[in-house]
Amino acid sequence: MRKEEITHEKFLELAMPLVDSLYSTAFRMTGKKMDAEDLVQEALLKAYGAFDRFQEGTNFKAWIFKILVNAGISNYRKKSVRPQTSSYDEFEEYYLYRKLNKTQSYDSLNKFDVLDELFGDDVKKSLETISEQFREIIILADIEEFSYKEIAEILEIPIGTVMSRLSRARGTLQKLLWEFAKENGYVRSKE
Amino acid sequence: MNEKTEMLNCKEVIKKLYDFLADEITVEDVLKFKTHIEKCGHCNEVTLFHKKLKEIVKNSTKETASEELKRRILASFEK
Ligand SMILES: [Zn+2]
Repeated sequence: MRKEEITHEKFLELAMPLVDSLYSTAFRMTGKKMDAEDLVQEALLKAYGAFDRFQEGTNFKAWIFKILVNAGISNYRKKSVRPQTSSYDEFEEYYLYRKLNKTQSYDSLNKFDVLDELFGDDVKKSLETISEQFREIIILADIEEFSYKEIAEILEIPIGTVMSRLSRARGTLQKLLWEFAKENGYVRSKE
Repeated sequence: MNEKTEMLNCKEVIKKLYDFLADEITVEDVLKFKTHIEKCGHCNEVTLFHKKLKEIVKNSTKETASEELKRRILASFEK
């Protein structure tokens, strides 16, 4: 086999198993099937074009996600202003748990039952509602399960920022989940 | 117990919880963490709750690429 053929095959061998993950992330970023498909194709072509710069033995998934996320940012959203440095409380990511602890639920649902009730749609809707920056980091951390270090590389931000942005993102998501839980009557707020 | 395996207190456990769930703490801390939650019902519950919440977030949003997209991708790489 000629060299290009080997490269070609090697690339597809690494990339094809990631298409579902890439698509899932692209869909979350763009919100539309067509745009997500275009974004995946664009990212794959870009990655293939840059494949000689990929260092074998390093993390291909993180590498290709970085290309996808960057392509997504430049095409589908305005380069966002720096994240607001609003003060946040250290334990924000325990918001839902704390709220549930202080609340009485209907039919004596316990905290875990409330989570079961929240399943699916509410979480999906909440994820669609939070800011792109928060959504993106939750996808990378909790759905694609990249490490903090990999996320730092993909988003080109320091690890400290990854961690603080993640807590704020989780806190914001949980506040929405709490609202859904109230709206749907899984819990009765005393407030 | 020797000093190396000193216990974590509840506050430290809660602080490390998300890092524990993300597998981002040292092996030594994992051990301390597990030792703590085995004995502490409260921290055990907080851990299980957030573990479950994380799973729900993970499972809520899986989208899969269509077969047609996969075919198109493969076709675009054909020479
Ligand atoms: Zn404890």
